[in-house]
Amino acid sequence: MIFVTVGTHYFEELVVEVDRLVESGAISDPVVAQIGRGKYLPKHCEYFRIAHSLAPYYERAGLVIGHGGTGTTLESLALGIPTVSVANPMLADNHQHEFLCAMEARTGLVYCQDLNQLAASIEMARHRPRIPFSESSLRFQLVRDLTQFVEQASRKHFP
Amino acid sequence: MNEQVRGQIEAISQAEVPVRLCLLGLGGGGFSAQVARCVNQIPGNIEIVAINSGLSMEVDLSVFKHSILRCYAVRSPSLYGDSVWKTVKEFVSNIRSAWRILRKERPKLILSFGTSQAIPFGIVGRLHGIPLWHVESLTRVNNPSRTGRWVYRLGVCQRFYYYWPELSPCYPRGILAGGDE
Repeated sequence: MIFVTVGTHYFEELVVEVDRLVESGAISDPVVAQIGRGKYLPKHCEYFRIAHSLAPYYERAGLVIGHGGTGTTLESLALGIPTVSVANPMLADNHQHEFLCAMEARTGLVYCQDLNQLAASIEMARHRPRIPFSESSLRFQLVRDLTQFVEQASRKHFP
Repeated sequence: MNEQVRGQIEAISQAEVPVRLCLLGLGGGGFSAQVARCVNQIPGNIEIVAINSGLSMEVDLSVFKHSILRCYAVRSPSLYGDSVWKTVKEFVSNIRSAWRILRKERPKLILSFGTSQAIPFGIVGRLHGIPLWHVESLTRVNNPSRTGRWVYRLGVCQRFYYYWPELSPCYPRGILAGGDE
């Protein structure tokens, strides 16, 4: 199953393109799409707007096509699912570009910068070696410092 | 009797009081879940005051392991596409909200993951002696964000973290969030 996720906002272009690829037969796997607040409703695949947790979908997914949000990108990479991220250029001056370039260099992520290349990117993600990436390695120091802070603060009341 | 009282005092002094953390800028589903994955790693007794910002005013807080004490909706001072006037107006209203919330809740620490709310909350926090730790956005690899630069320059945060080593020249006093294993 291919799982498409656009986050809390919307990303019409991505949903439209995926729907078109399913219709034309370029994507033969079943597709489930999370479409957020988008107006376009896909005609050729299953869809839902928003869910309490996306974990059950990731579990079933053989490939994830995401909107490039840090949360979803890291989640699917941590699970070792082949991932294609399409940056949403409409969102906050395309700030995901740097992040996705960095992740592509370090993991098996495929960063699709042009929606017309989506089908090719999907093929690429399927064949790219998966490099395990743990999200927590990004913030060892931060969590350590926070733990120390909490420990000290919880004692401070009664010296 | 004295023994008993001493025992009670000792028991109280060893009991852990919940540490109140104020989390800024919760918004999108994936983003809040990411913040939760970080905060959930902290052991100990924590209660969270959540500040919900951004466009989606409903945030699923059940992703947090620790107890959520209260949740406030405060719009971020600067969202993408805001005019200067709008930013100034929202900034002033943020200062007011921050004053009201921080006075009432008195958290031990304000934690901000890349949000522009760090500036008003950092300023008010400073006046109340509440430290702010700011973490630069994960999406900034080579270039610092506008918010990050301001928070760093104004010195409203006690600690400044960044994710990518490439940013170290921009934030010499900052701390690499990853560090060593």
